[in-house]
Amino acid sequence: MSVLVRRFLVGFSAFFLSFFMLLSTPYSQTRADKLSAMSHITQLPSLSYLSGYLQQRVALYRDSSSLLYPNMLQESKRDFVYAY
Amino acid sequence: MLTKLHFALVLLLRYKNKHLLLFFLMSFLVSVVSSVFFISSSLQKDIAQTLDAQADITLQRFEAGRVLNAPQSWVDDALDIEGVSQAQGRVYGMHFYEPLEEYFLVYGVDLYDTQVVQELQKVVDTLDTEKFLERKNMLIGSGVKRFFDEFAYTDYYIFRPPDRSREKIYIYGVLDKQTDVLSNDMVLMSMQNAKKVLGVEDDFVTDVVIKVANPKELTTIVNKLKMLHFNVRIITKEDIQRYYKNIFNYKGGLFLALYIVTLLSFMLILYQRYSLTKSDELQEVAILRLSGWKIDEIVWLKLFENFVVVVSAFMSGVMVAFVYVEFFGGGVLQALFLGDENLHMCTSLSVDFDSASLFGLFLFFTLPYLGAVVLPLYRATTKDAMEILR
Repeated sequence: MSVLVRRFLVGFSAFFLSFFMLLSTPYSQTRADKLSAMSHITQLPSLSYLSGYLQQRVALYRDSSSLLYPNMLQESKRDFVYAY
Repeated sequence: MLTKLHFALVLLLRYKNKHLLLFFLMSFLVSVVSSVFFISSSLQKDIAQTLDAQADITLQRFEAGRVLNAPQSWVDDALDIEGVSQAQGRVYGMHFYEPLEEYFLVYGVDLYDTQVVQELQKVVDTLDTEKFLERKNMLIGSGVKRFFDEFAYTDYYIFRPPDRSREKIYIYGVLDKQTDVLSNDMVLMSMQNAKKVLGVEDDFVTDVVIKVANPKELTTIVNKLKMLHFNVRIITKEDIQRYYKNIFNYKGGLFLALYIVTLLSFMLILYQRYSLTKSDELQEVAILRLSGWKIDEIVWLKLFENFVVVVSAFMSGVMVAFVYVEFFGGGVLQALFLGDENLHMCTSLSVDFDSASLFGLFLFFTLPYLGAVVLPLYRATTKDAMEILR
């Protein structure tokens, strides 16, 4: 076996091994516990997750659904055009 | 066999500049798509974690197409139904900060409930409930903390309830950053304070959440709730799960469509390049044919040479993406899924992925590449070698 082939086999195997070792990193259990705890506390679906547009829509929707807010959103026509 | 392997490696080294260029280009393409794949699957895992702990049914008072605050008595009504293991009223709502058009999600927690306190202690390091209840305190998410810091609300924040009063609430602590997916824009305070801030009357709650002991009884309980009150909207956990799945599929699908266009363009360029009759590769194939190599030997040689390049590029790309998402939180790509309209979110992530999907990505990436490179070379082996050299 030539030096080139040997080096290739060793190098490629090491690369392959490190690839699988890195990918076998498990999902953080601490994170899972904390998220689960937070979810238990609030029982809320993760509203923070909702992307900008949806979040804006949810907010507008909730405003219009008479949850009484400190500063009722002034919905101008321009705001709606922008939102859409 | 070893001689041929040696020859293939010599060829790889001979054209190392060309192979390196392809390697970097492909690694970049793979790392981008893998990052999106990792971020999407990690967020899905996060959401799954949170949804598992959710109540089975959310009951809202729904009249004339609007959601209204529900009477507290609905909690007792729900508990009277056989099969309901737990029911509780929630108080939450958006506090709108008008100058910047930002929202905080104000949520009321029952700090006399020991289970809630135990769970809270997992996400706030130094929580002492007695101290917390001594004055009007609140716990805030990372996004709210950044916002408060920016506007110098270091100690307290004054809410303006609808009755035009002023509610001065002190900042007690910050919720763990790892829960940002849930708590980035969240403000937790005692139930009484939340009611005051949001203007919810004493005998009312925002909605009622219900847990069902036996999932098979869910439909029956939903029907009973509908019979109990006609002005209700019922959202089940499955509805929320379906909703999230749709968002992920929509966003992931949109990105994938763009990626496929990029990948196809890349493959097309490669195919055209390798089809050129004067390319080095074709001349090399012609020389090998004249030296007495069989067609299948040449094809295997070329397959091996390119396979090494494409597999290395794939693995490097995936490793870069993994490190980028796991240790750097996915950077700007995170915004594809999380959005940036409200309080800016830059949460950490923990990668969780499905091996079958990654293998699918591998096939999706390598097969077109090998096809684009090896097919023109295979066609060349069947042509007259002298003509190609001429």
